[in-house]
Amino acid sequence: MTPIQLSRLIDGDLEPDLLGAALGALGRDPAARETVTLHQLVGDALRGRVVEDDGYSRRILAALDGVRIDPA
Amino acid sequence: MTSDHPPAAAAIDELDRRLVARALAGERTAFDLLVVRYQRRIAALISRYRLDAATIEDLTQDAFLKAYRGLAGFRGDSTFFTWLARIAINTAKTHLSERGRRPEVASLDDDAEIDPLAAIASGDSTEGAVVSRQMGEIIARAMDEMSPDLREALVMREVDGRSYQEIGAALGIPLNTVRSRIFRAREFVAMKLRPLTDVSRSKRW
Repeated sequence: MTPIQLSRLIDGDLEPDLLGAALGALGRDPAARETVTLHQLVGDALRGRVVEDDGYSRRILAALDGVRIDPA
Repeated sequence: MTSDHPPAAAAIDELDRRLVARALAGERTAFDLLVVRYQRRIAALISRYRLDAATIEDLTQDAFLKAYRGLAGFRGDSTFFTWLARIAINTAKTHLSERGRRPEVASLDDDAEIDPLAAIASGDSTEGAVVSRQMGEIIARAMDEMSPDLREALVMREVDGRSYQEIGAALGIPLNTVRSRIFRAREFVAMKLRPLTDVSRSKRW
């Protein structure tokens, strides 16, 4: 998965049949996660306003560990 | 606009539905990506209820936990973000009512009450996102420094919400050039942010 494909991923521009490969890269490759995290941050900043803290996602993802999806 | 080249919002909606389906099938990374993409917008939405920073973060986390547990309840009647935003608003309102507070909403200019969910449903994207002050300043400076071609493409995508196809048509450039400019613009800014982050050294996002 190339960095430009990861950039396209967050815009919904990546071909659907590459989504599995993109998620696979995000699951195992810290550089891929960094690209997506920073590219998303850039977009959020351009649309948003600033606060004193950032980095909720890491804490949210840690809180999700061990949580299960309820059955339908 | 053909179905092969959906507008930006439709492309995002389609991506989100695929991510939800994969998360329901047990692929946690799919939900992680939804968290990374929407956490700041959800925090911004909750922040309209005049709450302190720690409470906003707690409620943002609670909203994502509820969304994850209840993911099988996402029927696709609305966009995933609208469904998530409804959970976040209910989480904030419940928090306020438990403390005997009326859920008063601050608009972006702090002078009117509005319904955040109605604003989202009507396509109003002004709920924005929250970003740290330091990062916000670095990003603003980088935007000033980058080449006009890159800045133009990135602003059309991120601020105006245009699809790659719409950007290509507006600027008279091929789709791959749009993809390249948006990527290079993001990387120009990301390069300035990397020293501040530790994502690359982490096993997490």
